[in-house]
Amino acid sequence: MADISRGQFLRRGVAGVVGTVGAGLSAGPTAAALPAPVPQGDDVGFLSFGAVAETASAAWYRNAASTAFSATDRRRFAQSRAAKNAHIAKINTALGADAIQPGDFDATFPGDAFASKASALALGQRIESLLVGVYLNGAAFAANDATRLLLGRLLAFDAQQLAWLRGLGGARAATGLPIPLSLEQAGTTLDTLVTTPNFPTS
Amino acid sequence: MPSRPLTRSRRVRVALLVVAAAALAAPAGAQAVTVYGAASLTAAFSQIDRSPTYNFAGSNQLQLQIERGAPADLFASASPAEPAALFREGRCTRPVTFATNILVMVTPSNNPGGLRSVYGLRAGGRRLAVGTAGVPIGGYTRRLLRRMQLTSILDRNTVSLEPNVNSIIAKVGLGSADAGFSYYTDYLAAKSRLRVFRLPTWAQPPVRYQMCVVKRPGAHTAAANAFMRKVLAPNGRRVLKRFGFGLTPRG
Repeated sequence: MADISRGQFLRRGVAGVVGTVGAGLSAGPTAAALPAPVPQGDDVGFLSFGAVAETASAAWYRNAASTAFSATDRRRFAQSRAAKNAHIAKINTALGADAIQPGDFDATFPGDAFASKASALALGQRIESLLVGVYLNGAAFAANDATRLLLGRLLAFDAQQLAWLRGLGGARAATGLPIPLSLEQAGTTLDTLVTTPNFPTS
Repeated sequence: MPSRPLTRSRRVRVALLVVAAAALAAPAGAQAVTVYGAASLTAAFSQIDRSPTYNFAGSNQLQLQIERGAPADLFASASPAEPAALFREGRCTRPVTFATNILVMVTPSNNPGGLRSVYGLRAGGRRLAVGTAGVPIGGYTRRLLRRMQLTSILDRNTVSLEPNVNSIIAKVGLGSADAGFSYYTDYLAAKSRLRVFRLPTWAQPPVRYQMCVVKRPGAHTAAANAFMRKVLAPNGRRVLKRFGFGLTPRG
């Protein structure tokens, strides 16, 4: 192998970095496009839970928008709700025949959930924590690469939402790392927030 | 009292009255309807109307029989897939949703497998009664297990595949299986012999019952429509509710 001088090494290094970043920037839109997830095995569980919990989350943002928050916050609630609905659509595309249909589940919140900003935020954080916990698990263990990538992106979004809601509640930015949750753990909590319409609870 | 002789017009009126009375008194007798229904509808349908000739079985089996020309007039399925297929093939009218249900896990009342929840089946070694993949209860069960990340329980336990929900209930009720997956309504119908375990709401597949009037030469279409109206009428809905079914909003 030919020897190179320190100057040549640095120049080549800079060229490599510039080339990599440039290629990354120019390929930006292509790189951002998500390969189609093909869920395998337990992947369906992560996605199905996500679809139902995102439905509850979207309902929370809808209700929160009519609570006594500032106009700025309410605007962001509306944006977040739109993002949640887009996420549900993406998850359903990935689920195919297993997709959650509109009307399969209704969100049911405690009567006093939106009585105050504090109670509303507590519920919102609870839902986002469920999502973050399950997505954290899914991003680590989903069998299909594209599904893992989708779950990772959903995780990134919901982790930001969780941090924002915590901030609205007066918490400091970093208040502990979220922990991964199994579907068994997270499902117990989610079950208190959703019902199957047209069926009496047994 | 001497009887008055009937005039011609009176005779005509009497004859018309007799014909009208006969038509009102025995519309069902004139057109005996044959209803092919999902096994899970056995008790409720028989209560709504005793007069039809019933054939209760797995919805997929009934669909196949109708496709082969069986003399069904009305088809009531435990899932939308079967009537939708018949509708696409032009063999029945547009299906109507009339009831809903949910899935539960049942064990014999003495719970010999010592199960505390569905998650206990992950340990394996139990006898499970599960619907075959083609029958609605089997499809719903597999969908629920996929959502709960529990499909492995079908490998870890000894599974007997059943053709319909009645045979799942029979097997569990007799103690030939440690657990099984059925509809909530089937548990209610045999609850003295069973113990029920609720399955998570968030993982429930949407169980929707649909019915349609079968199109075939010689079908008793009017009688089938009359039966359908009976099921959708307030009394039919009350019976379905009493047997534990969920109801869709009246359309």
